[in-house]
Amino acid sequence: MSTPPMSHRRELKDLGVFLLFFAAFLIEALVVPDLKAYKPWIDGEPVPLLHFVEEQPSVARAAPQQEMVAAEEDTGLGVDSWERLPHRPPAHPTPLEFEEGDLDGFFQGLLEAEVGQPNRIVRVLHWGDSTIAADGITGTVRSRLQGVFGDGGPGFVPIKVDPRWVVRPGIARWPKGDWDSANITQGGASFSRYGLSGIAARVHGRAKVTLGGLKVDGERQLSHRFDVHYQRQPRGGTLSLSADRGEPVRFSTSSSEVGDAYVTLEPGDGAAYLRMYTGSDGPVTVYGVSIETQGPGLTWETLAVAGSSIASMRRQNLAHLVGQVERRVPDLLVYQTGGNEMEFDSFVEADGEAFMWEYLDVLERIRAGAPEASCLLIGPIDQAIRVRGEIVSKPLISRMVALQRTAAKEAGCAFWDPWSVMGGADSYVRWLNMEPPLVWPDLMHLSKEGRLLMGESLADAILDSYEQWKRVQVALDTAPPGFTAR
Amino acid sequence: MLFHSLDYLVFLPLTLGAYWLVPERMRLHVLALGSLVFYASWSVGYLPLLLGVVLVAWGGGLWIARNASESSGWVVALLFLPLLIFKYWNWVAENTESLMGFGESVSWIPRSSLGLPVGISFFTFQAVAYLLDVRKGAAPERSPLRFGTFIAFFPQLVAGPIVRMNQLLPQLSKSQLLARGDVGEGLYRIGAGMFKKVVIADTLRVGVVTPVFLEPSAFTSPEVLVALYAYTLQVYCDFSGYTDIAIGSARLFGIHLPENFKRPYAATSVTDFWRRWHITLSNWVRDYVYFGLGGARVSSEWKVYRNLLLTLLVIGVWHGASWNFVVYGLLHGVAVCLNRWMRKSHGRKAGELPPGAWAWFWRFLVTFHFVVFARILFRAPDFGMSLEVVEALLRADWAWPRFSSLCWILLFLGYALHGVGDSVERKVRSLFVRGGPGFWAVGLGLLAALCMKIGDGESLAFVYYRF
Repeated sequence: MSTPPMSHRRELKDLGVFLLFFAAFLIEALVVPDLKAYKPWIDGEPVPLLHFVEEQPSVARAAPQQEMVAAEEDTGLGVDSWERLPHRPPAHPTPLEFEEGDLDGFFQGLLEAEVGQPNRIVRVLHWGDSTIAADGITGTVRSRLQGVFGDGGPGFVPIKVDPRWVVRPGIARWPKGDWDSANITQGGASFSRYGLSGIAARVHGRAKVTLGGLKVDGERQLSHRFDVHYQRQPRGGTLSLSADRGEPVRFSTSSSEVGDAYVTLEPGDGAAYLRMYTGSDGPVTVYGVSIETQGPGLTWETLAVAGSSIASMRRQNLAHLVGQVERRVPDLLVYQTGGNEMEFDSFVEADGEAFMWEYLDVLERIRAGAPEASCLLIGPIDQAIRVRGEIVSKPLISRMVALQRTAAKEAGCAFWDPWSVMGGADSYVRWLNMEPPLVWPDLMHLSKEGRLLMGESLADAILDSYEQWKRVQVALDTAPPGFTAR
Repeated sequence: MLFHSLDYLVFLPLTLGAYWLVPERMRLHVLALGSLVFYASWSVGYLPLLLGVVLVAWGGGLWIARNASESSGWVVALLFLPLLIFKYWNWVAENTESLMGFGESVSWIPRSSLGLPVGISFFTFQAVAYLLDVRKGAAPERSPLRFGTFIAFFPQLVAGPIVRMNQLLPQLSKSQLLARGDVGEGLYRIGAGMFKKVVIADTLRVGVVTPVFLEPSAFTSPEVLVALYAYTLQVYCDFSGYTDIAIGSARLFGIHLPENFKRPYAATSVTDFWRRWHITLSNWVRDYVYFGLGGARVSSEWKVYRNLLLTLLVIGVWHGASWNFVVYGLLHGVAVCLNRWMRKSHGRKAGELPPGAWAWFWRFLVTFHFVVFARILFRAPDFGMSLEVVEALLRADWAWPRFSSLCWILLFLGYALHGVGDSVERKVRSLFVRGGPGFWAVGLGLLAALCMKIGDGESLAFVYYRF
């Protein structure tokens, strides 16, 4: 056998030396504590190559949907609630949690709308973060409940939003001109007045905005009440409103002091659009417009800002917020948060007690404008982080859920747990692996399909609880005449 | 096992060690065994399929050589059968039912519930090319071991390059020796591939592409446009990064694999693009489909266009069983036909360079954007999603895109690296190679640390391994 050439031997030597050096790096990463973040392998992880012997992937196609897991041990709420709620895998049926009487006011309102009480609009105000601002969950709930109780219209809509985050598909919201907006997450509104939705629109000069409800059968639905929430301010400009081509209503927003004001247009036969014009005589700030049909029906109003948290909610001028809520006369106040507070010191430290009190404070602020309204608190969805290539749930999600559940009980509110809907710990990665994925790869948000599923689950829970409440009313003989429980 | 996994980091040195330490006559055995272990790591269940393809192709080659006058179509058909069943059966069944049911939902053709075997398109095409070359007169390989290693050679088994018999068999037939620079260049290619795949491709995928394509309606037009540019870069870095690792790994065994990419986004026509992108597939389809149909040597010009369209259609469909890929192939086919027509009407020869900087620039711009927008069909899972992407683009709503600084940096860096000239790249490679083993170890060690730090850490497959 001939001797290999020198170049071959040199290359082999180089290869050997390289492998030794590289192995030394790997060993160093394995043993030096300061290099923990760069360890190629840690105890508990699959042993390289050997794990293939233990775990052989199947040749069959992976099933896109996971099997339903019995939820009774997850929720502790008993078999019967689980059996009543529709099964929508991979979502776990999750009922509302509340004490007797907590939601009576809201359910009574639903009953009145259901039996057709004239002009009865059941108003639900739903605050939250980006999970809500996308209007996937709220839009689905709105659609389901309006299908049962009647379409009360879009409710409150801010007039100038960041289209990347705040969505209300289908409604007409067409600002023209130099509008800008300030929201509670980023701040910047004068006098900390951000309006009901936390987004105040401002303009200085001529501008216009057209607003209207959804299209039904190709035609814009007729709205019978447009309630404009605006700011009075020193040297404020002129605002002009008209419903369709009706007679415009012009007024000045100027006032010696800063305050909130409202103008209502109620076109008798209804109008498809409200057109709002600003003059060039001064700044105009508009918080938004409530748009309603003549009823009976329900509104489910998306009042969310991406990045919102209990800290940003406290940015609102309290008296202003109270007034804005009071104006709407809501039947149900819904608050959904938790995703953006996972790193708050008040939450991380000392079991999060400080967070709970801050959370209750925000709740009190929201309820101050409607102390008789029912309330519903909704916890965060599962969120995840990447740890050495694995997607795992954030470890403190369960604490957030537990704190909010406790706060709900403390405040006499109902509670609903999306984390349980997803399946609890490590559910994010399961939802991510669905086809199509139900969550985004940013490990924080639901995808469009995920929002629809979550919205259906919430609607199921609300309707189920309502039906159970109605059964009790019938049993107590307190239901209105002509009413039957399903 | 994925190339950027700890498994491969252990597997490659072990195989290399065994390969170079055993007596020379055993090296092919080591390579063959290593390749089988590599494929089995994906799924032992599909090993019989790979071995079956090897056996049929090897036996078929010997039969064809002995029976030159007989028709050999049946052997080629037999080789294509697994590919048709695993990859296209369900799609064909669905469309047949749809057609025959006249739009109504009927289901009478049984479906396959088997997953797609990793690399099936690659090793099937490689095996078929072998048979067709033998049919043309090449001498068949008599050693089943050597032939099996040719088909199953692990660096190129699951995602190419698609290697021809005259490119790899001769290297497996002689004693493998490392030439000067093989180790340094091999490690350089592995490092470059890891950087492209883990740092650039994976970060852009997670940070930009996947969110946007998951829900285009939730993003603004500028974001969707940036996502298209990002996806165009991601798929290049993913695939060419994989190829770099494959070529680099092979080089450590003293084996040279053909190049698969040549700065494809610098192309000045779609025809030029297909001479630079997935070169081994383009060459395969050119040699066995285009030339097989007659190429440009047919009786009429319209037949040349027909041949071009069919060729690009095959390329489209090779990528997947979906109408998206059919349209993708046809779109590129029309573009290539248009290139030919324009070239001929201006009296230019094929491959002739554009006359001047401005001519080069606008041709490059148009070609690049054609490729970018055609990728909508490539990335979107179905027509519905493709339309959603187009709608989002046309919405023309302005707001600053919400991507992270890291994604922006990698997007610009990736395109800048792609645009770097060959001479610059050669200089960098040469510097690395001259650095020696210590330098290589430090360089690749730091790269591994970087990959762990800013790569997404997720073990994900290369885009192309499921083809």
